[in-house]
Amino acid sequence: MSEQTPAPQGPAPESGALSGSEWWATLEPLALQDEIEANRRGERWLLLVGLLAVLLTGLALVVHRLTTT
Amino acid sequence: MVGPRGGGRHAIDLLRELVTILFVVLAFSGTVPVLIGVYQYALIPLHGVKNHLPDAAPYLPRVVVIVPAWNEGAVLTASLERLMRLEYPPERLRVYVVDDASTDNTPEVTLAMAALHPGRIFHLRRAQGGEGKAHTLNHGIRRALADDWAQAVLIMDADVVFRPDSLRRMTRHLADERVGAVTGYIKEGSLRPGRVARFIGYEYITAQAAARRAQNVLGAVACLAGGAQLHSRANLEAIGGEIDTSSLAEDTFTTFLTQLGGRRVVFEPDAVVLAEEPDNAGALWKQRLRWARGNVHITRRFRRVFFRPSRSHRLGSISFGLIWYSLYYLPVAIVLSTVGLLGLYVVDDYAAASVFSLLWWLGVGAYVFITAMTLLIDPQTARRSWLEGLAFPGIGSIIVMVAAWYPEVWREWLPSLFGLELTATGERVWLLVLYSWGIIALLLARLLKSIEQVRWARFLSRPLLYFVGFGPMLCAITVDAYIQEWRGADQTWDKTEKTGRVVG
Repeated sequence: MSEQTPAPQGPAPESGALSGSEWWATLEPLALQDEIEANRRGERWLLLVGLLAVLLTGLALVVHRLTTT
Repeated sequence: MVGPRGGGRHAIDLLRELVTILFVVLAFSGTVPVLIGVYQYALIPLHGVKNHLPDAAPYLPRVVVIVPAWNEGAVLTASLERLMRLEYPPERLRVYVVDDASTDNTPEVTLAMAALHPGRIFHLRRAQGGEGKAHTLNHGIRRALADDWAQAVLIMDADVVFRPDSLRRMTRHLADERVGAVTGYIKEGSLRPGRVARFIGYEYITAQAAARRAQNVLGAVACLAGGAQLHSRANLEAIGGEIDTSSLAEDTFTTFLTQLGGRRVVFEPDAVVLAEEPDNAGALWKQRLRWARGNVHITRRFRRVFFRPSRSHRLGSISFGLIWYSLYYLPVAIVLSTVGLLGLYVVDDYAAASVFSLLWWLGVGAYVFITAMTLLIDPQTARRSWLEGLAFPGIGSIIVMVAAWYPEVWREWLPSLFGLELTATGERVWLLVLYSWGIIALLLARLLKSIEQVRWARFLSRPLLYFVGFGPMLCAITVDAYIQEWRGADQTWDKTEKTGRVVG
């Protein structure tokens, strides 16, 4: 289990010339670590999703209040 | 007519009050699963900061993929081609197609693919088939564990299509030795999904992308997806080197055993796997009835695990127990709530109207909150299933919500559109329909399954599905599972027919 990812074969690609997904697909340890970090940042979108959902729910309740009084 | 006096009148008033309170409690008991659903959704944003990714690391173990195949010739080529195109070191990936004595061209398709990819795809043939998926999987697992090549085993379905980056996004979690298994995000992936498949597309956001993130936060996952579950070798060996064959929900059984053994199960939302799902009510009913009955068995089998907090696993946490049981309590809650409202209507119609309004006030809040979050979690799926998302509880339920919020709509506005005026009897009938909608929707869902089989009435099934809603339909299937279990009906393994509509 603790065996690490094998070292990349051949020279490391120029990460600047590759898109994110192409760079990750090289399977180099650095690329895979970069993918993990990118996915981790992507998950933070959920904080905004939660906030938006609460705001929409609040908006629906306010509209109801305004239209029934 | 002489009424009761003194103490007698007091006793009747007291009894009336007690009955009223009982009916109010029954009516509000319907809110329990709704509140638990909202609680589960409230956990999801926490996944933005509380997930397993900080403990994940680049890790590409030698993986054996087990593909159970019983007459899967139509879908195997696409699945195997996709596996061969995974962005994963080829020398670290082997595929075992376990042919469950298929009578179609499964052997030929597998052998042709094996010839194209020598040393990477293997055909394992069972002499006797039809015993169920768990037996088929065990044949492959035994072979995978027979030598020390495999460091991890991926269990999948023959019809699913893995996105190229999915496997490596699962294996990275196994770098943490505390993790026993990882599951991916199964998405409905038909090229041209029908109505039922679109509903399933939305449902899978709620059941997987949403619910499993919440379970990650709680540290207890309810189920490894049957179509995409990666196990460490150590985990498979620890649970006995095979999958339980006595249950219809073998995936859930394995998930529980893994966690009870002190190993973590992780849901990886970025490991996307596409699957073909049933596209008619009958096939859906058959598939989900099997799942629901399987989960009833799991509940019975592991009843001493729930609500008993433990240091070694989180399945016994109060939160997980509430979430697990709320699903099975839902049909009971609907019936109790309806009984409460109707009873309240008999003893105090004004109180019934107030409680009804309050109940659906909560319902509207939960509906907006859950629907908005679900659609935002997976915008790609939401683009093609947004209508089914909005109609998930059923247009009928949405009408009830509107009626609860704006009673004048059905009392005055709607009849006046047709130049009519609602009579007292008409109003009573309307009220009783609104109060009983939960049970009516369950009955209509059962009717939907039946009329789909009647040629001249089949055209009604589609509008009825939107009117009844997918949620009530799933609830009706749970009721059916209870009935089948109560009757002691036979457990049979009914394979869901697949046609190869999935596109990557």
